[in-house]
Amino acid sequence: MKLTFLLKVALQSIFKNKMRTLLTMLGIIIGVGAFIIMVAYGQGKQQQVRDQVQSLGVNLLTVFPAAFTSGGVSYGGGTYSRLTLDDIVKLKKDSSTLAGVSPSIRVTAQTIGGVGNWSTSVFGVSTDFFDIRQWTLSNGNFFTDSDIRSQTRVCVIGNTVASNLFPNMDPVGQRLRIRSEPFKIIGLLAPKGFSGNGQDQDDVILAPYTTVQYRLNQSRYVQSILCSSVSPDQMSASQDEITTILRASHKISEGAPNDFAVRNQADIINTANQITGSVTVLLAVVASISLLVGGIGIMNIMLVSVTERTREIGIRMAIGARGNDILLQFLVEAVVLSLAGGGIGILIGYVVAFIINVGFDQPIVYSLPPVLLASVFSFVVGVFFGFYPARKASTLNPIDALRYE
Amino acid sequence: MNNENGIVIKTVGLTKVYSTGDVKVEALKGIDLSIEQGAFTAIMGASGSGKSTLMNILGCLDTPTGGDYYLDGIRVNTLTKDQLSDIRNRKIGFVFQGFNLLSRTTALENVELPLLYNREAGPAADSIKLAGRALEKVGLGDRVMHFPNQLSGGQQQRVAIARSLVNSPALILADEPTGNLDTKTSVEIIALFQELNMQGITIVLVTHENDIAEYTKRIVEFRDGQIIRDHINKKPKEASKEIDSTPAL
Repeated sequence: MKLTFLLKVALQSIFKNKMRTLLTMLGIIIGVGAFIIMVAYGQGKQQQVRDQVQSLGVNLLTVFPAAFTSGGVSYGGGTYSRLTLDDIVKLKKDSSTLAGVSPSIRVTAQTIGGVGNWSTSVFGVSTDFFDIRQWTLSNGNFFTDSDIRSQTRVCVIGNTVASNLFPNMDPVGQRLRIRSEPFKIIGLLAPKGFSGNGQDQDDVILAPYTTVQYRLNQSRYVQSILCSSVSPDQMSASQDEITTILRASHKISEGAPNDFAVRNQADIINTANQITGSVTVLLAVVASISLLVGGIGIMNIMLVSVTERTREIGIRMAIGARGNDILLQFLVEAVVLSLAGGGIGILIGYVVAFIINVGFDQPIVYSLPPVLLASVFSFVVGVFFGFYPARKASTLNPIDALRYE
Repeated sequence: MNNENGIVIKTVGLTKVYSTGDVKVEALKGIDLSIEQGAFTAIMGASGSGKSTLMNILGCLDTPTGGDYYLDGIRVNTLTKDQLSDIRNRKIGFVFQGFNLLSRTTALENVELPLLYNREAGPAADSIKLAGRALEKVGLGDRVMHFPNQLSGGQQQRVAIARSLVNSPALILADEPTGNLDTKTSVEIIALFQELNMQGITIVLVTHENDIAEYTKRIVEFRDGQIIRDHINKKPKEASKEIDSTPAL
């Protein structure tokens, strides 16, 4: 039997009863639509989390002081630092998997300049920091290694600081005072927005760590060290390397605990992915159930349709249609119905996803795999749930079918 | 058996028994019947006489319980369901009392349908042309794109006749073809059958009306599953001459 003939017959009967066709397809439309929306939204959320984590830094490893205990009292993590600038030199020199190493010396300070004053965080960092944290400039320059060597009083400021101290003007080239030290602004950071935990990442001033260390901090210890690994799959190797180098540097004897902790960015990404991933799976399961219900709807209507068209089946058999011809006719009809439903569902799904994206400012990922999956699933649903009614039609006795009123 | 001696239908001791639980009903009790090519035969009988059962078996819609049935030289009673479908498609054209056209399908597409199910000829590129020609033959060349509900009963029956003709079958089986039509239209339809028969097409017409049977060349009468009378109608009425004198309703 020619496929075009079968398709024509299927389309004829589909268009004969438009209302019923629509109701039949509704289950599949809703199922596929929901599936598309949920996957697009879930993937969008996943992408958003990944981007947020990524904005903290690429392949980032952070070294913190370990929890400090004195006289039986634990002071918690990060309270008492044993990390020194010497550690940074050693990390840079001895490691093979680290792309960048930077201290992070944080000082909270009042700054004065431009139109007023502003309290913000000043970070003393090395030139590697910009690569590690993926900071870019919207204007001006970063400071250089020679600025670090000579403890130059220059700084790069974040967008929030700029808009508070130097509204409506270019801050680059201006001066400001951090505590009582005068600094020259040589660069303006590109805005990064808020971090995953709601911190304003642009409320920041970056200066050479030597300058901050000797002029503002006046401590020989640094609060934390930021390192970046050469590639994501080298993360654990880098972590081991950092541990070995720092233990040697701090002269920690074998068996004694570390006086520092290394936090791996990949752990955060994995956890975030696990959460959003399981949400996506949950959504997909819900969508699959609605697809299943849609499929049962198709079977239901196809069974009614077979009964309703018993006489037509009888006529076709009388003039020479074989059982298989009838089977194929109804199967093709079911498949066309569910595929069309799937197509409409995909369309509606993406329209709704677009509305969610643009209207509600939610992240959406438009990708091909869910579309292919939905199409294949619609096809399978059509074949699976269309087969039983089609089989029933094909085994009708032509005499009984012809006499059916 | 073959078709050399011009026999289209030959049944030998044909029986059909319906059994529902313990009750057995003998619908046909050993039918021996031969119909030669080009014949125009009426099968008559009251309801329950077995003529519908015979009709179903002759039309390859049903299989006999016993005996043999040869259609156009082929022993039919041992064939599979699919083979019976092919036989119906190529050897038999059906005309029913209730027309049995597909609704919401044009006259042309209704007539084309048997060609599309024709496995032997394969996909006929000119199936539309053949269907159109068959419709012209029954005088509906100007109604090809009409749907059944836009046609009168007589016109619908003509479409059905065109459909039965389109595969050039060995036999046309008409089951009460005038049962749903008024007298004048009935005569017109019978005239068409007579015209087709004159062109050499073998027709078997099942009816319970004497009036209709008298237009055929041979009348076989049934009662209780047996042939009680089989005679040649020496002077069949000519329907084409009576059309004008038959009053319209």
